[in-house]
Amino acid sequence: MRPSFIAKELGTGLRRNLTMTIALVVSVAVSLTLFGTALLMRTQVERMKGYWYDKIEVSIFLCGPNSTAATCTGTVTDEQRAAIQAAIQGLTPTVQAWYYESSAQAYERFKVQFKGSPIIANVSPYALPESFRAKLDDPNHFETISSVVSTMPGVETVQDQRKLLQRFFTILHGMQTIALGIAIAMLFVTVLLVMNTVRIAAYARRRETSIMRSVGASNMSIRLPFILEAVTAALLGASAAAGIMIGMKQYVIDQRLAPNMSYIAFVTWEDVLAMLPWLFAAGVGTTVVAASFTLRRYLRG
Amino acid sequence: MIIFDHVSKEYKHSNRPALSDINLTISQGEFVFLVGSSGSGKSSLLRLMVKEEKATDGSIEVDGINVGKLRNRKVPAFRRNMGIIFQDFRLLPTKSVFDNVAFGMEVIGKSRKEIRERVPEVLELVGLAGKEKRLPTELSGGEQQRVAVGRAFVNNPKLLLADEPTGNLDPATSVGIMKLLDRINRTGTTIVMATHDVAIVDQMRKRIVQLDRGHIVRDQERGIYGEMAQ
Repeated sequence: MRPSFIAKELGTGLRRNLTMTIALVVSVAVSLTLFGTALLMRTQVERMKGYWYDKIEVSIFLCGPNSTAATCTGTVTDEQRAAIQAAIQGLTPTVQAWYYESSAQAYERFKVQFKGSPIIANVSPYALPESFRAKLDDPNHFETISSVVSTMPGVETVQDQRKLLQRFFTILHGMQTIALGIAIAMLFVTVLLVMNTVRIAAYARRRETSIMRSVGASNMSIRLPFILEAVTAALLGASAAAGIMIGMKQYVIDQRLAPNMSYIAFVTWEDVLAMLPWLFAAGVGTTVVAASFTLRRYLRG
Repeated sequence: MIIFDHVSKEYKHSNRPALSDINLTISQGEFVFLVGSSGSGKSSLLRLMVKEEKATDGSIEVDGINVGKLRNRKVPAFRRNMGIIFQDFRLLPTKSVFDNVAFGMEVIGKSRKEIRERVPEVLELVGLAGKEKRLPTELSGGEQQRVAVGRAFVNNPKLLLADEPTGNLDPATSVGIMKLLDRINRTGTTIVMATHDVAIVDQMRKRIVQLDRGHIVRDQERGIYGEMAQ
């Protein structure tokens, strides 16, 4: 069939089925927005992981005068400290960088962190333990360093900051799973709506399709207008969803959240733009499959 | 052109076959009336020819093609060699006369140029020149059927099937449609027409195939309807 004839039929079909078309566009837009949000949340979690893991250090706290650990016999000695330092240095390249923090330095940092808080008055400069801070090539390699230094004399405890973040990430993962679940449920609803819309359209045009069949139109050319109608609705819905995603990035993340939460790495424009093709693919893909499946049932030659 | 060889057709929920052991040969260029009371099997016979139904038994050949063995995806191409006319016209109410006739060409992918040349020719043939822009609702029943004949004939089919084409028309209008079909028949197109319009059959004096409860009970050259009572 000529494209102009198909376009004309498409226009007629969309107009005739206007309310269902609108319902379809809105439904596709909502489900794809959720779908896109779920995809972006995953990227967001990965980004935050990358950002935080990058800042994570392994803290090797050394024995102080009041330490009770089995590896401690009073304050760490110079020999013990030197041995621990050598052990840490020996772990390159797992240990990418390290530094030593004395009790006095720890106290200075503490004062900055808790500036204005009355807690500072209750902490004496000597109460904070001295430590080695090691930065690993991969925060998941914690065991490598822990197994070496945790039993050394003079080491009170080895702290993995990763554990502090784990619970936070567990919550984020949960939210991401919920968003994905809702998105899948919405896509399912959209599929049902597509099937219903196409079925109604096929019923409304059974006279036309019976004529088409009797003059020898191919199955493809009989079904194409219906599929194109559904795809047009899906494209409109996906465009709306894309607009919402771009709007959320621009007005919610960039203008509201990011300036107030500089310690969180938010999804970038690249992440958003990389996700958009998936929105369109998911919208058009599910629609084409649902429409074709319905037409096989209701427009049998 | 059409060969039915020991063809039977049974429907699932019926206790007697719609057609049983039909043997029938129709040559190229013939004009054949299928007559018989309602439920005698006329429409089943037509439906088998266009592969809207599948025969339970026997083989059907149309224009050298074994219809029973025809693959589903080849059915559209097969139907392009035939035109079909219905009792209820089956015009598209939102399309003009021109567009209704052109529809037959549009759906099989003819170019705009071919359509612009061929449709006026056909409208002239069916006697609707000058009414191209009318909608079906603005036409009389006879004119609507002429549009339907035009659409069935627009692709120059070798075979034209008509299922009670005059069933909804008054006698005078019916005569006009029959003259039109006769004219189309004289161009070499084979016509098979199911009807129980006595006056028309008697007037045309064409071959009559009479069905009764799924059997052919008469096959007569240049017959008249009235003889069936005997």
